Amino acid sequence: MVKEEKMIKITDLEKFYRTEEVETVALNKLSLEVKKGEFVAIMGPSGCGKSTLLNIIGMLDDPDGGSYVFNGTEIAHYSERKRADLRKHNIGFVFQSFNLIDELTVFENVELPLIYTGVAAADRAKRVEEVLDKMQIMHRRNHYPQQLSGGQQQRVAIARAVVNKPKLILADEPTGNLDSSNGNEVMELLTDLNEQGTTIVMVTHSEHDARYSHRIIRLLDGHTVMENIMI
Amino acid sequence: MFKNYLKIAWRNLVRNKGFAFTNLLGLTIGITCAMFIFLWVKDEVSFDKFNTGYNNIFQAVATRDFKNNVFTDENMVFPLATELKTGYPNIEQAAVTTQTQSNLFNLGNSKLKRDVLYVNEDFLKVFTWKFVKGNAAQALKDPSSIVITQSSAKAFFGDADPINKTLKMNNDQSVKVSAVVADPPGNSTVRFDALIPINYSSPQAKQDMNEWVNSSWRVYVKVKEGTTEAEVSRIINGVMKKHNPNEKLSTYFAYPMSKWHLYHDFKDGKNVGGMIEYVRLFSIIALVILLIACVNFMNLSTARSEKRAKEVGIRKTLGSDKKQLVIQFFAESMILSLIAFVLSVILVVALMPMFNQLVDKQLLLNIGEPQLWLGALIIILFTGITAGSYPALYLSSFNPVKVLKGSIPVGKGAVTPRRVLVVGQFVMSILLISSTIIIYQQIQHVKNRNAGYNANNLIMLPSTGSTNRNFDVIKNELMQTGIIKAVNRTFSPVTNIWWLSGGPDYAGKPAGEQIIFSGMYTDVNFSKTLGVKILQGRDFDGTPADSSNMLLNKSAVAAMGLKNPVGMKMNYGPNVYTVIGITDDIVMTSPYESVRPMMTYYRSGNNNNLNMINIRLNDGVQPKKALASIKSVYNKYSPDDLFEYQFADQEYGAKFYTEELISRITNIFAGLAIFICCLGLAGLASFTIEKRFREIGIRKVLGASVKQVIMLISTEFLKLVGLAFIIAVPVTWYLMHNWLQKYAYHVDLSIWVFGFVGLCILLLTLVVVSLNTLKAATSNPVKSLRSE
Repeated sequence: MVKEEKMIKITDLEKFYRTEEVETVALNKLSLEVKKGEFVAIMGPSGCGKSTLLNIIGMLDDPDGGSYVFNGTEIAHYSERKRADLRKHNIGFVFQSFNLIDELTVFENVELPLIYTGVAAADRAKRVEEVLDKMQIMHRRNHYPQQLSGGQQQRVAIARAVVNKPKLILADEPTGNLDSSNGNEVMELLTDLNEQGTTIVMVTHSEHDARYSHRIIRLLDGHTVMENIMI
Repeated sequence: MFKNYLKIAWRNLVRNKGFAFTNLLGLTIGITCAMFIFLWVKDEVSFDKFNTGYNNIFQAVATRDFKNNVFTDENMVFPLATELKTGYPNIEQAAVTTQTQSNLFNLGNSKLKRDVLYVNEDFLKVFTWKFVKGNAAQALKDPSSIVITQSSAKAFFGDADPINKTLKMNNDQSVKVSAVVADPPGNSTVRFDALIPINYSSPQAKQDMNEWVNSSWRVYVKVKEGTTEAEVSRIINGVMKKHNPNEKLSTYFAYPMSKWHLYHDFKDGKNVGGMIEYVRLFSIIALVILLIACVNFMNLSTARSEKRAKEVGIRKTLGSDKKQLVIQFFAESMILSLIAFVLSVILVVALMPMFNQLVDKQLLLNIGEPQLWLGALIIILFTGITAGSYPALYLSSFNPVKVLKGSIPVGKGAVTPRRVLVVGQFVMSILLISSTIIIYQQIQHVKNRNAGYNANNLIMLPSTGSTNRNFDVIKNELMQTGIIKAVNRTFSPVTNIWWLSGGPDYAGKPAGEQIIFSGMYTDVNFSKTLGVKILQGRDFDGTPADSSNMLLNKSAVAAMGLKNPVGMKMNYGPNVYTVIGITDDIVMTSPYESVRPMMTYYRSGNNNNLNMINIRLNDGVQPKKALASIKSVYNKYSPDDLFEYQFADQEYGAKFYTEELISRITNIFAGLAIFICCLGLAGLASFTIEKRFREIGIRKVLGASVKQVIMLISTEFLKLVGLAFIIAVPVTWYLMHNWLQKYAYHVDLSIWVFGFVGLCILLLTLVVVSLNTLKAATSNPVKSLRSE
């Protein structure tokens, strides 16, 4: 059930990349809104600004112009520290290349966001076990990422993304490195999370994956060119 | 959180064994060097501190200004101590002692020589000696008593109780053991094997107690807490001036105990340091080596930045702020520093006997000492923080968006600091190596100096009353052995000056001129026995006229400005002497200094001023065989004396002790520094190759040879080493030029030293970088291109 409250409201967002000789416009007065509980897919050709947009939504990067209101608060000009604080309590990330820390076990990888949000050790263990159980990866808790298949690694990455119970999950081509079977499983997991109330914004090249969303936003040259509501 | 840092740090080390090994090796060597130097420095600065009231103890010394020669003199008059003790409330105790005398002791058939100090009772109050048997109050009451050290007690009496046992001293006096004290600690400036109370009823003591001009006692005072050095100096100078109102040449002052060891050298009446210079030098070397090792850690850590960047990106994405990442990377360097420290402790314990041999000390790693733990903590924190600083700040500054995309900053901002660090490393290494070579050159230069006599095959024996009485017979019997070329007697050994005084008067001497001469007595064969060259005139020939003849050395003729000295009349004391010959300059004291003007007078027969017998062996004679023959003759005519001998070449060699010690230590540390540098270079080379792996692949596809690839990478490093060389040369030149200035006789700095060092460093760089580059240069280019 889609609620009408806005989680993200972006207006005339701009982002430029400058080198000594060239200035590239990554986002060109882009505006969009994402409501709480919505599952939005962002699509477009390479270089259209999808990942840049996702990084700004995820507060990993700051815009050069425009407005970004998150949960009613303008954050476009937040400092890196403030953004980091807001991010760790509200946003979970799922990457195409999983981005697990090789030196940590499955359990420890999933535990990491809880450490950064200051959750007590006993509580951490309980919450990690719960989420690993839910992702059906509990039996691999003491394994290192290299000992897992791609699908299993992405499950761990999703477990890590949701363990802090974030309001928003940002997924950057979450099935890009997976075969279709594992890819479908990941999309089912994301759908389940969305049905449980988590807002999801996903960047993808895959029309198949995009069909799992409620709405597809298509970008070209840094701005929105089309929106499709999925029925 | 911290547990998580430690966990990942540990796993990083375990997973990257090569990285960990290289870093640990460098840091362990660095910390081991630092610990050894720390222990050495700790021992050096601890000298005399075991004395209660260390800061309140002073020695009375004088600056004697003879115009052409200003020097510092510790010879004092006896009554100074008495007057200081009784007339000045700030002076609590005043000790008076002789110089150390080597006395012969007999117990049954055994004979031993021991270093003795004749002291007054305050000697036991000024200094802190640990009584093992007997007590300080009674130990020196009886003039025939003797206080011996524990090792002397063991040597004389074994495990038996020595108290009240009698020893015969110098074959004519009995002394009774009144107390046993622990041996003076290794870090005591004042050293002795036995103490004998001054016999105030002896004619010599009676005379000395009223002598306010010439004497050779040592005077030490202990003052009330809060009395300043200046006050003590004023008191001492005041007392001496009161009793010698017309004596203008001397100024007296208090020389604090805290300076006796570290600031022992005086030049032209001024304190010019001493061991403190080496304490500073080695402290700097320890710091430099530790810094070089830390730089390695920085370089190797940042070289692995690509691998760590992803982790940084993920952690930042998951909510870590920069501060948390900085702490994490510091935690890693701290762990490495701690492990390196533990390994260093093991190494230090294992290598301690070798190091003790090297520095001629008995250092210990005493884990019960708080100072040691403080030192350990400082070393660990310094290493951990220094080594971790740059990687922590560099790695934690990565932008998560960029690094998760796989883009690591490689611009000038990332590379320049690493280059600066490498240049710094090599500047320090080039400085150390060049300095080591220059120190070595200086020692060799001085060793090769013409000593003015032939120290080889020359044996020196003390001449006693018995040997002087029987000298002609002894000489004949020695000559009959057929292994001896010449024998004579002198006032002092040729390796030491025992007599300094104002020079003789002569016609045409400038008014007021005062030149300090060293003095020597000799009988015949002075030149033949010692191998001294007679430059003009002749040696003494033993005729009665020789008692009115004298020799001068080359420096004396120059200092006096004489044109035709042979035949000149000289007045010395009440006598008139004729100069019959000019000898070459003989290096009797420091070979680094100029030779003093010397006057030599003739003595013969049973004369108390002939203290040494010099024996010149024939060429090719084995010293062991010669000693057996000499001992047999010596013991025959001097049965009560101990047969003691010195080889002149060994005694001369001992004059290089400090410089050779410094040379040995700097050799080792310079070698280790360059080794650690090469580890760092290898690290940086691997970083560069990692960065340029794809470029190397493309170049190879386009036709580059292995040699061209190696040169491509090497050139970058050769430029850095070249820059380091350009910076290091003037710095080293300046430092070593200043160091050499403290020696009157020194080598000239040569540009070839730097050329040689530069060439060696360049070759070493080329080898290290080439070995690292070879793997990338010979690998299949497809591999590097596919990995993109």
